[in-house]
Amino acid sequence: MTAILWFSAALVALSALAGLWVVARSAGRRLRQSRLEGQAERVRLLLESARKDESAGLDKLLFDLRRNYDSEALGGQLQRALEVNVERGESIEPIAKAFRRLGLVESYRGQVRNAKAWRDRAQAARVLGMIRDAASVQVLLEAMRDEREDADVKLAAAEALTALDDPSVIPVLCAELSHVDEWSSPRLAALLERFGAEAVAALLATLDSAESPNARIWAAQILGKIGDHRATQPLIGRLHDRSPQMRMSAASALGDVGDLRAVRPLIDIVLRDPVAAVRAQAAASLGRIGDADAVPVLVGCLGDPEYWMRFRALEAIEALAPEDTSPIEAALEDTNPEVRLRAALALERLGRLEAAFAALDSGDPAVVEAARIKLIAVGRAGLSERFIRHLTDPIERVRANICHVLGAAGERRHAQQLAARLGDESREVRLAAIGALGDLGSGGTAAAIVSQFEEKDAEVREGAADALRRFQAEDLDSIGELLVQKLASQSDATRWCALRVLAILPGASIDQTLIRALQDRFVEVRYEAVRALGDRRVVAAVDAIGASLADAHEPLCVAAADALGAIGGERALSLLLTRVRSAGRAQRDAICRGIAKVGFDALGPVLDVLLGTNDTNARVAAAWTLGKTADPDAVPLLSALLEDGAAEVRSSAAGALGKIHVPDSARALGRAVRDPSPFVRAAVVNAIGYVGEEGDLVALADCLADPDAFVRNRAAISVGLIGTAWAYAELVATPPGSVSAAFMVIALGLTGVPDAVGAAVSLLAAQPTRAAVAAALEREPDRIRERFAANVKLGARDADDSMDPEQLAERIIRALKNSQEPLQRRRAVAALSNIPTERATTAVLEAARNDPDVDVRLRAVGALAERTGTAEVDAVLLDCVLDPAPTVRVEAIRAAGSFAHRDQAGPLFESLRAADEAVVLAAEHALSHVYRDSVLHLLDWMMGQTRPSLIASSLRIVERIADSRSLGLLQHLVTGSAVEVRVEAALALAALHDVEAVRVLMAALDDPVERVRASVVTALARSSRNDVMDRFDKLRLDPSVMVRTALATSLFQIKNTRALDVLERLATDQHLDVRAAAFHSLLACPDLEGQHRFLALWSDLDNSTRRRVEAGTADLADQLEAQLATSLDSPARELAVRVLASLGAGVHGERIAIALGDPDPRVRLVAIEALSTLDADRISDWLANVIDDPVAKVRTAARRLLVKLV
Amino acid sequence: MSSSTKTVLVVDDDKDVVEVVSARLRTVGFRVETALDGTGALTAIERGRPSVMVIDIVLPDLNGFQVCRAVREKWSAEDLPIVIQSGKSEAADRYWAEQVGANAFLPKPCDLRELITTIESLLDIGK
Repeated sequence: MTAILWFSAALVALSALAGLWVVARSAGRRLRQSRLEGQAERVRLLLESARKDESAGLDKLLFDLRRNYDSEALGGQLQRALEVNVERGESIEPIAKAFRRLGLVESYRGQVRNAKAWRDRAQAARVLGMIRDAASVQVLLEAMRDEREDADVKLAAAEALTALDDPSVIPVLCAELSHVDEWSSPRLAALLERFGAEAVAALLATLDSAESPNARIWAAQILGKIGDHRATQPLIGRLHDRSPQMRMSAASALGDVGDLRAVRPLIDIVLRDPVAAVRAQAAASLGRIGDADAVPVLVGCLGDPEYWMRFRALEAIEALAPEDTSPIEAALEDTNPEVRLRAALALERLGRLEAAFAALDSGDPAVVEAARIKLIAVGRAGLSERFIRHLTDPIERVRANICHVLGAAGERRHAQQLAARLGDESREVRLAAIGALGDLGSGGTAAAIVSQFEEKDAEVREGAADALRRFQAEDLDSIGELLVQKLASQSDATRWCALRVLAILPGASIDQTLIRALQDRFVEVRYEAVRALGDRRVVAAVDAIGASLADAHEPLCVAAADALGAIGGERALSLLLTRVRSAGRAQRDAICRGIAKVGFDALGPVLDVLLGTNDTNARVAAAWTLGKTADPDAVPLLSALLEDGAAEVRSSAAGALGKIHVPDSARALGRAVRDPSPFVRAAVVNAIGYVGEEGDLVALADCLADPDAFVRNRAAISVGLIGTAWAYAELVATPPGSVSAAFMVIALGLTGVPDAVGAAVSLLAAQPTRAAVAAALEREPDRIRERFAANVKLGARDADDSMDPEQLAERIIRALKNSQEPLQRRRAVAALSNIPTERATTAVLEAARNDPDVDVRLRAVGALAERTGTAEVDAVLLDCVLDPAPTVRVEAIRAAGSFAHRDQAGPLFESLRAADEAVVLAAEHALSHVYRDSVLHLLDWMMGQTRPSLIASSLRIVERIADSRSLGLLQHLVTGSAVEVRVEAALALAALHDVEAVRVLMAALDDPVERVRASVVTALARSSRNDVMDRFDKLRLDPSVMVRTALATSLFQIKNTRALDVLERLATDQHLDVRAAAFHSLLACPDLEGQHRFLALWSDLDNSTRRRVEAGTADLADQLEAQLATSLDSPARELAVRVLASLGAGVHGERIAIALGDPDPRVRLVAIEALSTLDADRISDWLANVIDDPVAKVRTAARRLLVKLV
Repeated sequence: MSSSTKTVLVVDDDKDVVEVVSARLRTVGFRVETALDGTGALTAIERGRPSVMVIDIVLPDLNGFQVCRAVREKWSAEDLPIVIQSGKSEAADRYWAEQVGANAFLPKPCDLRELITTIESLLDIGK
């Protein structure tokens, strides 16, 4: 008990002591605070009086302060004084001095690192900054770099460093750049940037010699921000640093500096740096520098494999604001969506979109179309919302065009805005909006479009139905009921529109709706319903459609026959068979077409019906149906029908046999030429004409002597259609008068045999014959009329065989001089060209110079070209070189090239200026002959020209001549200023096949313009030198698609494995053009290894590249076929089959089939495998060659394939 | 050697250029003949060989290079020095001027003092 009492008392005492201690401590603090406040107030008053009386001795004051007052109170008041001075913009130097004299600076430095509270550390840093104490740099830097330090303290340290504003700290700050510190480094950089020109020297030293890459990189960036031109050269030097980051920073900094001296080095980087990010930065900098010379390079970059390189290039081009924005427009089709959008933005910022909007109101359709195309591309690139405000443009044409553009751009999010235009006051706009909504196919607008069915304007109604038919069926689900309701409308037009749309909706209920519509009162509705039911193959509709077979409206009953034919089945066939006997011609044709669809093998029951009656129409229908099957198995039956009692049936059978081109049908027709009915015989000879040379020509020729004139005339036409020398001979041998003059002329003309056509033309000289021919042709089918017109030009006779040659020549010369008919003069010139008299030549000379008809002059020049060598002829030909007609010029230039001396070359040089490409080409060719031995004179002429196009043209001539004396000049021209000249100079250099020329070309691969580089690549590849491969390998990274495509296209000419390696890499290039070219080049390699690599890459190829490659392989397929047919090496032939199969067995099946006769069974096997993807009809004949192959494996493979196909 | 005994043939299709150059050459004592095209230049040389010829490259008929080559077929560089002057002044033009036998190439518009110095140097005047 006592112990407990003592313990309690002790506790009470302790509590009392603790309470006393707390009270005492608090009182002490209050006392100290009070004292400090008192001191601070006195210090403040002293400092205030010192500020008022600057003459008072500061040192004495400071002495007093230090002696009498607490340092904390002093520091606090000095800080406040400092802040006041800073706020007032007054000098802080006296107070800073006070800090130093009182020893407070050291104290604050210590606080920056050691004070316990972060507020104190931050405040100390701020004070050091305010008093601009340069010696505190290190402390502040340490605080700023301390990873564990509070962010506010670090920030205060950074701000303090900024406030120091003392150039002496620059080297220290530069040295600090070597630390990798994401927080501090940007602040140091900002600090150094504030020093501006004062920091340049130290930064250049850092850029030049700092060991840390980080320091060099920051130095470059800060130098760029400062923008001092002293940095240009050192930064250019860093463009080739080993560190990509350094190169990128240097490129960026050069863009900031904006010195034109950096343009060329930056172009070099754009073209050649292996790191895309560096290339992109260089491109961006070129844009910022703003030198227009960079535009071609940047345009080339739009083909760079890296999309962000293309993105940057677009930014740069936009910054340069070129006049020609077509490269930006081309980028609207870029494969990358971001690039497309960037291109669209660039066009907008360059004001080209506003121009396009304005062009939508142009009266010139071509201008409007161009603007629409541009805007559509912009819309597809993602900027279509810019178009919306133009939907309410006051000009209706603009509104309509914008509707069209929005539809084509395909952004469904604008569908509602377009739907709002359906209420536009302008019919044109409403139509455009409907069309656009059809393009978008947005389900939300379907009901609005349906509302247009009630429009009075038929075009609007039909447009609305057409638009909805372009929707996906699932997007029309919401209006299915609405459409059915519309079918109950009183308006015929509304029901018709609704039915057309319903027709594309799936579902059995729609089928029923369509069947009900067959009862509609409006025939057009019934017609649409029949067609739809046929397209949908609705078996349940057969009987309902059958009812329409007898409709009074012929198009409907024909459509019903077609629909039943499409649906097929016994019931449909039965209905068709029932109808066929009473059908009109058009419907019978449709019925037979429908029946024939079941195929010959299934026709048995049908034929039983058709042929088992005495109804002539039924048997005629049977013949027509058999003809439409085009099945050779139908020939015996048709041959039998040639014996039918009814002439109409026999003639129908003959017509049907004419459609089946097999020997049996030809033989049957040959027999039928003796049919008792002239009507039938005429049908037979017509059919033989359609069969062609395979037909019974002897029988046909006999028909030229048929007792019936109509048959003879038809026989003449068929003979003419055969179109061989035999035909001409038969026609000529026909007794005069047995064939009417008109049919004889047509027959002669149809042959196309020159003499026969000439004879036809002679006969046409008589006006009555011409009229009769015209009348007869009117009754012939199109194919005969067209063939006749193609062979024969109407004209008049100009020669009389009975005259002697001199008289004939005089007559022709007179015709040439006097005839008003160009055709007659043409024929006269042609005739005179074979008459070697002086008078004939003079007449031709005259015609060449003066005839108003181009064709006459052309023929005259052609005739004179055979007679060069006399001064007169040569002079006229040289005159004709400058004829106004390009065709005449080309002919004259070709002639002049064979005789002209360089003194006569003036007109040929003049021709190099022609607008017509063929003229220029001919002139280049001719001049290459003229200057073959005097290239120096050609070069003299060339160097006197100022137009680059003329110099380029001359260089093509130099290329043809390939004289080593041109080397020196070409070396200079390939580095000249005109792009066109550099391009051609490169090709001319390659033609020299000279080591020095190759060296020059290798240097020219650095040309900044993509066209030139592409040309150099082509040129170097032609030299077929292996030592170019190092450079070519690097060119894979060239930013220009044109260059990479040129590389891919050309590489097959270099015969080594490295070329194939490069091609293999190019085959996976980002750009489709490059990939396709690489694949073509692999195939074109003379080495089979190229084909092997092609096959290895082919299986992983995307579809778009495959399509492109396949589209361009016509020549290569010929080459592969030759390899297959002629190579003595079995693996090579096998390879050819495999490659052809990969390019498409469907396309190259016939080529592959050649391999079925290959001597090597392995090749035959590969061919069978390659053909296995084709359908039976196509390959069964081919497989017949190997079905009994002596090699069991081949035999088995062929038979298995046949069985599988069957 | 005195310039007053020397004849300079000035060939240019620009009459103003011909007049300005001729007037300046006359002021330093040269006799001056002129031609406006290449054929005219060759005709003038046929009439009497000048001491030096100053010729533009781009002329209506025969150009400066063609004239130069034609002249060199008959006269050497010492017999008839040629100064080609032209607005076409790329490296290739200079190179070709040398190849066709021109003694000097001056860009246009030319500094007349430089032209006179060049002519005097070619004629060895004032040495």
